[in-house]
Amino acid sequence: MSVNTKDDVILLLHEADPGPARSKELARRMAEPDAIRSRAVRLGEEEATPREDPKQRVASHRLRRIALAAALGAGVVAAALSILPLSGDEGPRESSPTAGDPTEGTFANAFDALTTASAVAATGSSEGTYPYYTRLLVHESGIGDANTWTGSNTPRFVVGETVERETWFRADGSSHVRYTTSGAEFPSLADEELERAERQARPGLSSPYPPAFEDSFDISPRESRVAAPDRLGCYGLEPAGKRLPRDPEELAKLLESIDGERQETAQRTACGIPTVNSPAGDLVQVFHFVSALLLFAPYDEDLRAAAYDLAAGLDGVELDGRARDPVGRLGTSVSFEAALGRGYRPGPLTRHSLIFDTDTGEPLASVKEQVNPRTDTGSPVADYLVLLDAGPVDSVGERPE
Amino acid sequence: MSASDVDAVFDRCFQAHYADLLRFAARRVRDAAEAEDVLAETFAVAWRRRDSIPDPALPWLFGVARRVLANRRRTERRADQLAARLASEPPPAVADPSELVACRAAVLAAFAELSETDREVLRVVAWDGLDPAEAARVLGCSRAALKVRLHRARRKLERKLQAEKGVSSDQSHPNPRPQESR
Repeated sequence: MSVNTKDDVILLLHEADPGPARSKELARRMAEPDAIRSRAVRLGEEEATPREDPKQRVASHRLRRIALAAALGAGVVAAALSILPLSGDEGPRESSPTAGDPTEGTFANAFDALTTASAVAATGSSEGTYPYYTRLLVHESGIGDANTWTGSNTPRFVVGETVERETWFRADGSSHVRYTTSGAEFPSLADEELERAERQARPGLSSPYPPAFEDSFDISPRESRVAAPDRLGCYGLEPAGKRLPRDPEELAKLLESIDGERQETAQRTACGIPTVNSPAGDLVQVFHFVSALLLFAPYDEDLRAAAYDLAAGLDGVELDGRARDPVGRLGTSVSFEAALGRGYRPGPLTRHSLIFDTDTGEPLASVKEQVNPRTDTGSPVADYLVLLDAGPVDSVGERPE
Repeated sequence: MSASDVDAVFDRCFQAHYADLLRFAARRVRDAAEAEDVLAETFAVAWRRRDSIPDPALPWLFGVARRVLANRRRTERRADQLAARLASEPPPAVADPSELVACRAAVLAAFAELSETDREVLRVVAWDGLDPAEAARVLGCSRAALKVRLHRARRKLERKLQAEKGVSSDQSHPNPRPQESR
């Protein structure tokens, strides 16, 4: 074992090590080693309960992962369809991240979980060379008061709007995007109308999954466009022609500046963009941007690692533990609660969750839900974004095997 | 392996690593009594596992000691003694040439301002002398996660040194190479 002698900071710290001197000082006031040995043996004998063998624990986790993967392979369609009902559901909505048994979690806090995901992401994967890398995302905004987001003073509701967005990235980060939209917007619905609209208009995920690309959504508008490298075309995350930074601090600066510009625009035009009304608001916006980057940005291990790393450094991000994403996949969830609103009007307290797989560094979903939902809207979930599939392909329009 | 062989394995482990473990504890505890407790509890675990002590044993022992310390800290927090713990960071009580003392004081002051997470990753690498794989095992994370944590902690320490004490990372050292602590 040795110290990295190339690192000056580590060297400085190494030379300031209080251990050797302090251990001598302590040893003078401690019992003799033989006495400590005897005490250790006595303690060891007293502890009768055998502990779990770490190797068995690892094997058990591995078996569980294999079983989970098999179950997911067979059950994702059923999970998606059962969790996202086509008709109204009186019971609690199951598509919000459901915290699992906290004792199953392997992380002490959000920092641990996110830095682990960052480290795994940084190691890259086998997706190094490919003509295209594709992502299939589903974005559903549940029933909610859209007033906050539009800036309009006219109350209106968005009901079950689903957008399916499919992107094919080239290695240079440029992309071809196609998305389909279904669902409907209803202005000023009365309660009974709202209930009826929820039953009738919520489309859920396309069925069956995966749909044949050309055959699905034949009644929905469809749009296709091409984006330049690192132009994400979402959430205003446009780095003005610059390459998205791969350094977490530079990335944080960029996201904060985007947030600042959006706030200014919102103040100036009083429409279109949610603004913050609490100190945590800026941070939750950055957290929100990070989630969007993970789900929307081209595949790049450094960018992904930087995004996780940035989220790990945000004050207020909490570990929820093991959780299921809206299509039932198990992952690790971290979340951030803050009240967003327009201008100085307080908005509802909202929980923004990011669910990801720490074994692969892959993001699974982001979910936004109200902490204290209005009873008349029925669902606490304001919206969610799910990464359904991703992988290398040979051409635009193709889906991963 | 016979019972006497197993006991001999434990004895060899105890003799080989007692001093290492004492230094490990000395960097983290506040007094001799606590150091004794940590050593005894750590070697008690080693005694129970004496037929399956990993080779090399030291990173595993450090990991056990760290969990013993964490349990003690948790108990302390329950008793609302967190402030006492924070105030008990081991002092740089060493008689050294004046410039070295000033440098060490600055480094330790900057170090004390870091979060516990950052301090711990720096401790295991800079003071306990573990390589990334061993440090990752002790801290219970992946090697890649360890590197990220170490990078982050090192950068924060460097910034604090530059900002608060004027000690630059590229400043020449009193000693050109580190002296192994073990």
